[in-house]
Amino acid sequence: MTLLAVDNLTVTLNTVRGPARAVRNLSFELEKGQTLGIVGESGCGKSLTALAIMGLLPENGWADGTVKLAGENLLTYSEDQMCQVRGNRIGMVFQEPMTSLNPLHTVGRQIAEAMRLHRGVNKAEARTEVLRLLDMVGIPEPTKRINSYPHQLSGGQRQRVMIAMALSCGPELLIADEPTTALDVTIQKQILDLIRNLIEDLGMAMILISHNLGVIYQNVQDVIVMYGGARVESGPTHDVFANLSHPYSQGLFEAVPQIDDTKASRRRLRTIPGTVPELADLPAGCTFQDRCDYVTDACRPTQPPVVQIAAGHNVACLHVDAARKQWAAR
Amino acid sequence: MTDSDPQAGAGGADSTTVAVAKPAPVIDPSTVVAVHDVHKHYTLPRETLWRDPTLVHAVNGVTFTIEKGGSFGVVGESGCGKSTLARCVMGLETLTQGSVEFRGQNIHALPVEELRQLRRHFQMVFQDPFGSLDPRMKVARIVAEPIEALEDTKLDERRARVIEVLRAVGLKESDTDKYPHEFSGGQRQRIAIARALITRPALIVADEPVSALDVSVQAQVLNLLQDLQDEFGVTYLLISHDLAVVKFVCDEVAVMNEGVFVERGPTEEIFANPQHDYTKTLLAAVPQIGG
Ligand SMILES: Nc1ncnc2c1ncn2[C@@H]1O[C@H](COP(=O)(O)OP(=O)(O)O)[C@@H](O)[C@H]1O
Ligand SMILES: Nc1ncnc2c1ncn2[C@@H]1O[C@H](COP(=O)(O)OP(=O)(O)O)[C@@H](O)[C@H]1O
Ligand SMILES: [Mg+2]
Ligand SMILES: [Mg+2]
Repeated sequence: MTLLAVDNLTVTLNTVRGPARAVRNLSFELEKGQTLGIVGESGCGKSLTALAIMGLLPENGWADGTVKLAGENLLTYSEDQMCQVRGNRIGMVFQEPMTSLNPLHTVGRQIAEAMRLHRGVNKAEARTEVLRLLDMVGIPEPTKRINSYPHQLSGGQRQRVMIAMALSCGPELLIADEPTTALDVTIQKQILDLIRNLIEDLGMAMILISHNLGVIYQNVQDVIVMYGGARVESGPTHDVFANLSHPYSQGLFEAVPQIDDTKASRRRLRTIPGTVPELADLPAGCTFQDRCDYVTDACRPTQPPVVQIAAGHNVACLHVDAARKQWAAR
Repeated sequence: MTDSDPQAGAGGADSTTVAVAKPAPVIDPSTVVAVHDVHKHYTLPRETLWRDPTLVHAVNGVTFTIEKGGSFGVVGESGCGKSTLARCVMGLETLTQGSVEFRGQNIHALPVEELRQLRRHFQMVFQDPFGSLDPRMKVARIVAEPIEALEDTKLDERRARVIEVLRAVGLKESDTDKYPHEFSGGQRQRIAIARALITRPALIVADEPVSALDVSVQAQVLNLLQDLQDEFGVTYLLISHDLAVVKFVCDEVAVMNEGVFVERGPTEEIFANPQHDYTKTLLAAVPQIGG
């Protein structure tokens, strides 16, 4: 059953240099219980996509297209209605828990408040439930920690509290935007393992946003690679990584050193020439054209066609055949 | 009685006044830097009047040497003492104990002026390409700064040196008249590296030099570090929390935890066959593509 259907989502921002399209014609579907990753470098539109789905775009931005949750278009909802959706049906976890937690209140009180707001439970019930949640997200000694203030917790523990809050109302979808980017690698693994296990146990769907290809590879069933606000490649995670086909995805992969590389195998990293274009200057046509080895005049006037190269594996590139051939021969 | 009199301690009546000199580390002529049993402790301000102030053992007995043209990496998680160690090696911190010898000279024992003169031979690159460049200065001045203070170079010669190092890091002559905000993150890190290179240092200490950069830009800077080593034989001490970055650049690596090196050796060997539990945990936590 389709839980979330995003169709032709475009996010436009009013900037000093005029309106800029930060997300362009993005479409994807998410089944109940499915996990999807969105990966790309900073500024490619990952967070704005998440914010558009949650109705939290900045003042200077708006969304066009449709975002349907179980068939209902969220983009037509009032702020009151969206307030009910957030927390109740879509939970969120962000990169920096410190900015989303209130430093003046105990973590117990903050989780309880979210619950009482959305679920109308009484105080005693809320306390029992908070203890259960803290235990579920792996906080040791919940009866003690329920009275802690955010600054008394480590970064990893704060992120666990954020996850407890996001899950407190039993949402159908969790959106996690760079949830481990600020954390050490061992803590990152603990948090991602926790999220993955909870998602599976609770039968939730998830959108995991990350700039880290390894994080995406290890944690989601499907992946979307974004560049310049557009989807350039998408499909089942393992198929996509086994057959990277868009020149940008290929370049991104080759730019990252891997711990199983050997010095002999890789003395130089591949770089992607040039820099990410300014939002207001994004070209018509393919957003990657100015940095692409395969570019021709045909890439410039119109958006590239989406080519299906295998079941569910789509690539938005006019020259996908050439890029694939080159990749296979490398 | 002097230390150089070998008989003094053994034969003298009052042997307790004689300091038993620790054997100084033997410096091979090809050794660029020798770090010997370095400790750095910080005293935190006391929380209450009645409690003793807390001591933080940021670096707690670290020893290593780097040979000319070598690249030594230090990996570990936040708070393990990497940046403190880098500052100790640069002579930017006093040591609680131990010594740092740069080409055989104990930098913490040098008079201020001599240390200042020696500094041209070891330079530092920091993580933050935004914070470490003065926004009010043009690139030409930013890059020339380390030689301005040290050398009595003529203006045109100084300009030639600036252009030379900018070229070495892949920037253009026309970039000299720009301000830092006109550059991308990766370009700013190149400017910082150019500034470190202008004194033609033997050693560059780089503390998380690519951590603030996107991967396609990070790749440019990592390649640049390799090229500079190939071309000029620069020696690196590279600090990073990213194991793959250290593996890419360094031929030797130390894994740091709670102020000490728990394991150390040739990079390929440590990564292929880690011995210490902490190294194993760290390696197992890296999310890999494939496998
Ligand atoms: N409030 C805003 N006003 C203007 N531009 C913005 C705003 N928020 C984000 N942007 C721009 O929109 C683009 C996409 O941003 P974002 O979705 O946050 O990227 P990502 O999460 O992939 O790093 C970036 O170029 C960013 O600078
Ligand atoms: N100037 C200082 N005063 C007090 N404590 C410090 C100072 N600098 C670092 N520390 C402490 O020393 C430890 C190591 O810090 P640091 O060297 O910055 O680690 P890393 O760079 O590995 O993250 C930490 O506990 C840190 O809080
Ligand atoms: Mg973001
Ligand atoms: Mg540090």
